[in-house]
Amino acid sequence: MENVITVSRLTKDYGQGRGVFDFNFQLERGKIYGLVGTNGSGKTTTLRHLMGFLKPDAGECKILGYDCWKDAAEIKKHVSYVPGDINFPDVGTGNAFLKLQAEYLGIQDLRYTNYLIDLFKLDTSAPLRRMSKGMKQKTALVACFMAEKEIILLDEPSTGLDPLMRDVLVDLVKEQRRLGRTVFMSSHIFKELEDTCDGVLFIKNGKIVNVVNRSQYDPNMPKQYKIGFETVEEMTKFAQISAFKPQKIKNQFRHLTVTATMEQINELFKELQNFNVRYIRNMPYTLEWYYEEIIVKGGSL
Amino acid sequence: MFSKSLFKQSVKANWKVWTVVTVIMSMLVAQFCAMEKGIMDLTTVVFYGMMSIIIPTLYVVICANGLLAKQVDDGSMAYVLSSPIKRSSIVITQTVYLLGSLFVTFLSTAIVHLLLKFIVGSNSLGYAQIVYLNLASFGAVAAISGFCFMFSGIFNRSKNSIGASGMIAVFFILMSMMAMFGGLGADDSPMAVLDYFKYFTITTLCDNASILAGSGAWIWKLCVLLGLTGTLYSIGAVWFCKKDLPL
Repeated sequence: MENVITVSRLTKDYGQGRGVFDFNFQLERGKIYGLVGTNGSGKTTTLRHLMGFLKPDAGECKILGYDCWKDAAEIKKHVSYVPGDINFPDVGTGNAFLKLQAEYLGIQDLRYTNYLIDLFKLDTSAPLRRMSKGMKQKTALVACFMAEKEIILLDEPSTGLDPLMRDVLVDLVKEQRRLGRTVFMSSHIFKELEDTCDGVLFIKNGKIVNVVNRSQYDPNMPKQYKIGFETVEEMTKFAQISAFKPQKIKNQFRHLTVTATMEQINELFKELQNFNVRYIRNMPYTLEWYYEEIIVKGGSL
Repeated sequence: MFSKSLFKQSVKANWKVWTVVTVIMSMLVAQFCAMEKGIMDLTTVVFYGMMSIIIPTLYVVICANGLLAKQVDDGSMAYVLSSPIKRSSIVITQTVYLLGSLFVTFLSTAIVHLLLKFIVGSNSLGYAQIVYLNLASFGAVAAISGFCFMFSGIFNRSKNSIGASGMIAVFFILMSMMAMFGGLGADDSPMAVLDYFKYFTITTLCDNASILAGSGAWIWKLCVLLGLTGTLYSIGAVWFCKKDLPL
């Protein structure tokens, strides 16, 4: 696969440990990538470098072979972007803004734009200043996707969207993959990354911690199971004898969490045979788990 | 090099303030002409000496900030820069808009003044002098706009940009007022010492006395103002093209 985005040795030092340090990664054409990290870990800084808004202290970012800083105008022919902070120019209504944006981008045929407006159920006649956070976000998303560029950069694109609209966004992002486009999005919502991304970059304090490909986290990743017991005593007993070393034992809810791989699942059920189990629930957020293990606890797999 | 879409956006964002300023200028020049009965200096000293600089300066301070710094501060510049427009094209377009709109303001003031003279005929100023006075005032305000545009290009925060611009504009105008008081009295009056303040402001390079006296000194002073304007705009432009944008 051809790499459309190449970041090598990218460093931007804002002092006091803030910034990004020695980033190296490549993103392939036609795939969806996620960028995950705590607040202030350098997600937005990374995307701003790719857009040519920031000049790297060292290293370089390239999109389709163009230097993101020097050829900033050239790469915009191929890239569109949703900023993390949404604020529109002072042009009145949503409609006026989208028209202006179409003019900037040289879009004549507004059919796809109107399709997107319908998709997000956006009221474009509303004045930009009175728009709620969610409406602004939807307007920004329409302005980004209407350009139909081959590379799409999204900085926390689901901020302020209701769950229904979040699903619309996830579908839209998946559609981009079908069209052979590359999407690079930062997010806190693990669900939407898990549903969509082919690869996820984890960053912490400006350093890339790990790059996980879909194949790595999808099928054989150990899963977490939440098990509810009839009594606290039973739960405590299970915790003592179990081979699975339960974590997060919560007495008030009479449940605990165990981690088991697909192969170990029968073992777990055999152990549980002797207990009165109220429920057993699969916790599907493998990325979140990964995030907790790797980033928050700073441990390793 | 030049973005028509951005130019249109700038016109849309600023036309209200611009119209108010331009209309006020035209009305004031008409008012001063009407009041002119024997005291021929009133229009030159008060209107072309003060009003024609203070009023457009208000517009320039607000507008220059809105053209760059405000859009960077609130993040709306991201949409302009998401399209294949170079930063240099943005700066050039905004320069054309700011200087162009300023020029049209003085052009309309000059036209109103010239028309009044043509219709009423009583004005003590000659046709050429009216044009020169407007040109000189334009030069002074253009140079102030240079400072404002430079700050707008340098700062990422709107409050810093407008603060610096407002401060320098007020400083120049205050200094020129002091200098004007100094020029009003006789040479041996205690006020005369205030004349020294003319060296602290660029607005005294708008040399109305020389235009009235028919000497050519105002021309080189205008050239200095325009040279300063070019330099300041260039500094702002280069800075804007090279800086990090938090978008």
